[in-house]
Amino acid sequence: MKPKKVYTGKLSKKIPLTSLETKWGVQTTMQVKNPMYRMEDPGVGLRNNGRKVLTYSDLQSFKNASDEDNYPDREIILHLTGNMERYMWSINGIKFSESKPLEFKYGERLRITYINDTMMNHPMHLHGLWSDLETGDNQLVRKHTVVVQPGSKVSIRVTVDAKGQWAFHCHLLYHMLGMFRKVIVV
Amino acid sequence: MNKLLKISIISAALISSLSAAGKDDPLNYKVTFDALQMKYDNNKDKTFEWDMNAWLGYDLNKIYIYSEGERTKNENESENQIVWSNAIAPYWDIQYGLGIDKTKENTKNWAVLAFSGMSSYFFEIRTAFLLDDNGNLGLRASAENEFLLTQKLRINVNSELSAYSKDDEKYEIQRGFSSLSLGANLKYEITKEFAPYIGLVYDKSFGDNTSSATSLVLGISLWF
Repeated sequence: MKPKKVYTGKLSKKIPLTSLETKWGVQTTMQVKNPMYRMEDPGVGLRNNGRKVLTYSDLQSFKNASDEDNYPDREIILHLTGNMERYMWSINGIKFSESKPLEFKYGERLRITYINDTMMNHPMHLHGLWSDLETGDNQLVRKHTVVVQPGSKVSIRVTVDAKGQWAFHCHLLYHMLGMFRKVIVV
Repeated sequence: MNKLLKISIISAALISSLSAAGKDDPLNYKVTFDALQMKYDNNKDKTFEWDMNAWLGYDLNKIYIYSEGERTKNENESENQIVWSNAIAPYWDIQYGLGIDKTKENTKNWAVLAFSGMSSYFFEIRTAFLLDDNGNLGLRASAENEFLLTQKLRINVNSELSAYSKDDEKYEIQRGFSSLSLGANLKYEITKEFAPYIGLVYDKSFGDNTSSATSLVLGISLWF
C-alpha cells in the first residue's frame, strides 16, 4: 500500500494570483479557515466502512505532468459559497445574476483553485475547456467535472484553447442558478 | 460531431429552460403549523391550541404572518402578527409590523419589532418587542429545538416567555413577567411535512392570579 502523504498544492515556482471580487454577508454562512486538499478522502458517509472506496488520489494519468503543465501562467481562487438556511448559492459570495463574467485569456495556462465554503459537495463543471485535476502526485487527470468536498480545496489546470463564451457552474440543479459564472475567452 | 451537436443543443435547451423557469431568487412561500393540538389539563378540561406561521417572499425579504391562540368552550383568544422581515445576518432577520391580540370581546393592536433566527446548536429563537397605544411595552420570546432519536423520531422542546410594563386585565396581561410555558413533545415524522406528537406542557401565569398547570398535549405539526 502506498503511504499516504498530505498534498499541500504548493508549486515550486510562485505564480501570480489574480484576485477576484468576493463578498461575504447574509448570503454566506461560513468561510473555511484552513481548507485542505483531501484527494484521498472518500467523503462523508463513505469513510471507514470496510470497503475500498476509490478517490481522486487513485486516479492515474499515463504520464507525469510536464514542466509547462506545472507552471501555469496565473491562478484564480473560486470560493464556492452559500447559505443553506436561506437556500442561496453563489461563487465568491456573488450569485450569477449579479456577477461579472470571468475572463480567461486565449492561449494561457490557468490554475483554478476551488475552496468549498459550504457543507455540501459541489461538482464543478467548466464547459468548453478541459479541467486537468491535480491529484497530488505530480499527475494531472483530465476531467469534465470536478467534485469539491465540503470544507476542502481542489486545484485544476486549464489550457485556455477555445475562444468564445462558456458556462461554468455547479452541476447540482438546485445550486446552479446561483453557483454559476459565464466565462469569456478572449 | 453529430453527438457533440446533440449535446450542445440539449445543454443549450437545459440552460434556457432553467432561465425560463425563473431566476435564482424566485418568489416562494411556506406555511408551517408548529402545533395543532388538544390540551388536556388535570381537570380534564379540553383546549384546542394552534401555533403557526406563514411567509411569502424572497431569499432576503419576506412578509411573515404569525398566529397562535386557543379555543375552549367559552373562550377564544389569539395573538397574531403581520411583519416585514429583512435579513440582517446569515441566520437572523429583523422584523417589524403589526400585532393583533384578539379575545372573544376585544381586539387590541401593537407595534411590533422582532428578531427571528437560529442560534448556535440550532435553537430557533424569536424575540418580539411590542408597544400598544397606552404605552405598554411587551416582550414575547420563544425558543425551540429538536433532537433526533432516530431519523424519524424526535424530541421537540419549546419555551415561551412574556413580560410587560403595564397590566391589561382584558388580555390577561400582567405587569412584569406575565406567562411562561415549557413544553416537550415526542414527535414522529411520517413525512417531512407531517408529524403527529404527544407531549407535556407546563404553563405558568404570574402576578395576582398566579397559577400553574401541567397538561397533556396531543397534536400534529405540518408544513407545506
